[in-house]
Amino acid sequence: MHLLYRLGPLTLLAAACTLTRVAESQVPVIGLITKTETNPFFVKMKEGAQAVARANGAKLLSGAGKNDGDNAGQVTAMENMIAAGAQVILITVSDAKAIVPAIRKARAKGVLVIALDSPTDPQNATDALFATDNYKAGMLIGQFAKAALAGKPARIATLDLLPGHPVGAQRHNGFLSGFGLTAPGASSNTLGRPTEVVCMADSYGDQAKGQTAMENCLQKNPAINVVYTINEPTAAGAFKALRAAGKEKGVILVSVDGGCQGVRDVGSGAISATAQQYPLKMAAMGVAAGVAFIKTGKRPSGYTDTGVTLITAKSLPGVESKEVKVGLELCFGRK
Amino acid sequence: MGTTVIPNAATSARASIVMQARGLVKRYGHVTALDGADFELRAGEILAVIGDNGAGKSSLIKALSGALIPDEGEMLLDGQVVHFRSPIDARRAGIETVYQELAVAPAMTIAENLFLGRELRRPGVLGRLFRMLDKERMLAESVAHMQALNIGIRSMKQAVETLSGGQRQGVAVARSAAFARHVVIMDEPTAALGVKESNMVLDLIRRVRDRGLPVVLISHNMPHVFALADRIHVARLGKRAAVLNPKTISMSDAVAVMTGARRAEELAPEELALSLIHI
Amino acid sequence: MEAPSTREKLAPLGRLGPLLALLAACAFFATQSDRFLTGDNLSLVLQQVMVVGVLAIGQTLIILTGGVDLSCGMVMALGGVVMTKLATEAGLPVPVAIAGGVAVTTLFGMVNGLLVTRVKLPPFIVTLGTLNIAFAITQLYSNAQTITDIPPSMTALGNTFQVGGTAVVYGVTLMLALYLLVWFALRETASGRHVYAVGNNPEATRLTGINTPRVLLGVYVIAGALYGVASLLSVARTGVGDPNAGQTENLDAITAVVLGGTSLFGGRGLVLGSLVGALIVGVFRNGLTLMGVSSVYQILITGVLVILAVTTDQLSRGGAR
Repeated sequence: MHLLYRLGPLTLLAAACTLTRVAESQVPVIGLITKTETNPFFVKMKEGAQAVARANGAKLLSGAGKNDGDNAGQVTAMENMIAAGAQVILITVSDAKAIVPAIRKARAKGVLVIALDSPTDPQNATDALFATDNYKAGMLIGQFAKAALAGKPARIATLDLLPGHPVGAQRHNGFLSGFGLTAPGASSNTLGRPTEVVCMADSYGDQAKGQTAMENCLQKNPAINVVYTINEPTAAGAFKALRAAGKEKGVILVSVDGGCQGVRDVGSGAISATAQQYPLKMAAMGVAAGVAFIKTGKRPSGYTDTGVTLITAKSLPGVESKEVKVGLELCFGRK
Repeated sequence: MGTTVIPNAATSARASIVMQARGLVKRYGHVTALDGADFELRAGEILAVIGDNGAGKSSLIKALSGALIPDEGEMLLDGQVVHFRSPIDARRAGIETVYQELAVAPAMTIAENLFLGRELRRPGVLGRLFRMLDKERMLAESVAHMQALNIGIRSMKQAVETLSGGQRQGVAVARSAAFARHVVIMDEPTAALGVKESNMVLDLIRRVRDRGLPVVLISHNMPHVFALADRIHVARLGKRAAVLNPKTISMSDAVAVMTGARRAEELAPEELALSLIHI
Repeated sequence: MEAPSTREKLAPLGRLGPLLALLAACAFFATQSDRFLTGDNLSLVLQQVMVVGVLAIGQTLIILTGGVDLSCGMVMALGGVVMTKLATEAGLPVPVAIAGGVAVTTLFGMVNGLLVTRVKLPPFIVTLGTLNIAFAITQLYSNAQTITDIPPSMTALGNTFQVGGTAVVYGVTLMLALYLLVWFALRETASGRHVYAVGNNPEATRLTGINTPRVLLGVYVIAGALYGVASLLSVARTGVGDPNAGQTENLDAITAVVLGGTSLFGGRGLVLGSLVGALIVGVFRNGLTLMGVSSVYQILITGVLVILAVTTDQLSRGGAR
């Protein structure tokens, strides 16, 4: 009798603990690691991931490096998340090569690792890749620019990111390829420079530096009629320079990203066309795949393109595009 | 515990006392740096302060120059009680100190260093509203100050770092002599110098005294002390052990008093510049 | 009279060196491109260096005291975001908005100065901290969005006036005026001398009775105000309040100061040298683009010039203490 009294509560307690643990272990835990905390692209990605996680009853842990290229910060975030019980890691890698050992360690523990936005080097170091094809994004705006030029001789200026950056190279070379010029392939890190490119300058993705780069290029060759820019802040700076020189009407200015401010600039005519990418989609797909893996053990694999759309105010024959209105619905940033 | 002072025939009993300190005490935790130290400086003299390490020599000098506030005791300047809360207070009272590190800005010129912290402004609107410096006047006055002390440097526009050690010392001494009204204190003026430059500086110090400014001189260098001083203040164990007459006492006896091997009571009266009887 | 030493031979080079380098670069680029030496192009270079040029004034003051300010770029970005937000969302009159932005940057300068003088932290560490704080505040306050549709009067300094046949930006004349003002203060006033003295020998300066903490605090506060002016010039030039501006401007400003011959150890240098230093960088960037040379070489050349500048400075002082 006494024994029962003593054991009773203990048993109940043990049962309760076990049940809780079982219940806890059924909440999927997913970690999202972005390059930085503050770039609107990644902010939007995180929001999208959180929404899908909530909808699926999963818990989302988030972290990032301090700046573009901070590999150590991302490694630390990964280790902490796995220690906290993350079963899936989604990561936009800052350094494609340096992150690989940490990813291998994670996968050895049975954690699913999916790369978002850009691949690791080698690509199969992660279970899967949900990304946007930056080369293809470049091709779309290259095709558009070629069509918009309508046969006139091309005098192209490229305002790039900085020397040696893979995303910068892919967009640049994709643009040249889409324009119909000889260019390095998608895996190259060097910027192609056919003779039609009369000026190449670096903008570091910064608006003020983009303005300076455009000004100097216009000094070099006032007859520039096509400008490729690495992203929309650079394009905004380039437009200011073009307008100051009175050339904004005759120059085709193209860009990549599809942020809301950029799409508005397409609407106002500052940018002729932009290739819109979908960080939200990447994150949503990543979380969904993660939840599926935790619940059913199904592993995603290979490369899934999350899509890119050409946004332009005036569509051209032969070039598939969507209107500004559509772009505004799908854009990231303040609408 | 008071002291009665009996002036010695060897020194002028009528020389007025410019600066005085009585019973200075300074403690740092368990360490007592000054243990009732006394001090007296007469007009027109060079008073050397000697003492072994830890004797309270530098603490005494810091108290006199305002860099240290004593816990007890009092200081008088020209008969008036003074309290220095900082070196600036001492400077304002007319006491200038030449520090061992010289306190000069090496990249700046002689003229700029001479007037550092005491720059002259142009008269009128330019000086008051635009606060413009009167560089010509400062240059001219620098030349005058250096000439008054017979320091032979060609251009006041030279950067101090281009000068030799002795010349730099000259600049620091000239600065103090130019602005001091009552006392010039010099901390180890010949420590870093060779023979020729040391002699130059010794002459310089004599000229400062001859211009009417009494000099307190801290030095480890016995030959220089004996060459320069009118009287020698010996610091020991945080107090004043004796005041010696360099003309009559031998260097080795002076060192003996400094290290405590001999006590003031053991000396002959003519060897003392001040005899102290404790009551 | 001994033969002049290496030091004495190089001393005039130490002062004129930056200017000679600038003139040599201009002469070189003039031979490489006939567009370089045109009024329009030179006016362009001046506009392009105007923001870093003003930042470099504040940076020069701080480096002269033996410090350094890593936060200048981020503080400038914050000032730009504050003034544009106040003018657009808060709807304040433009002069008030500008004053608000400058007040914020000046406040940051004061914080830097107080941490250096009261808490006695090394300037490198302090400004490393405040650079991050300024960046975070800028991102949060602006919600990482660029502020557009600025009232035209706020960007007025970006407008031009004619000099001969060339369009010159008003902001450039403001930059030149500020350089002359600070040059005058450093050369002709006691406070200016004290700045040099504090950098050259802080202990000596203290012993001569100069209020060293007050000199230092003053320098950081004035630099903060200058960063506010740089914010306004940045807004005027780009037409937006950009929270991501100023990311590399801190190193750009320090490079300009070093190329201009000011010693990183403090106590030596000319503020006008920083203008020359900023122009050297701008001229190379412009000239190399005109020549079609990859910008990687601009980075390489800047690095080589910095080493040359510091070496010339060291040699011309003969390693003087």
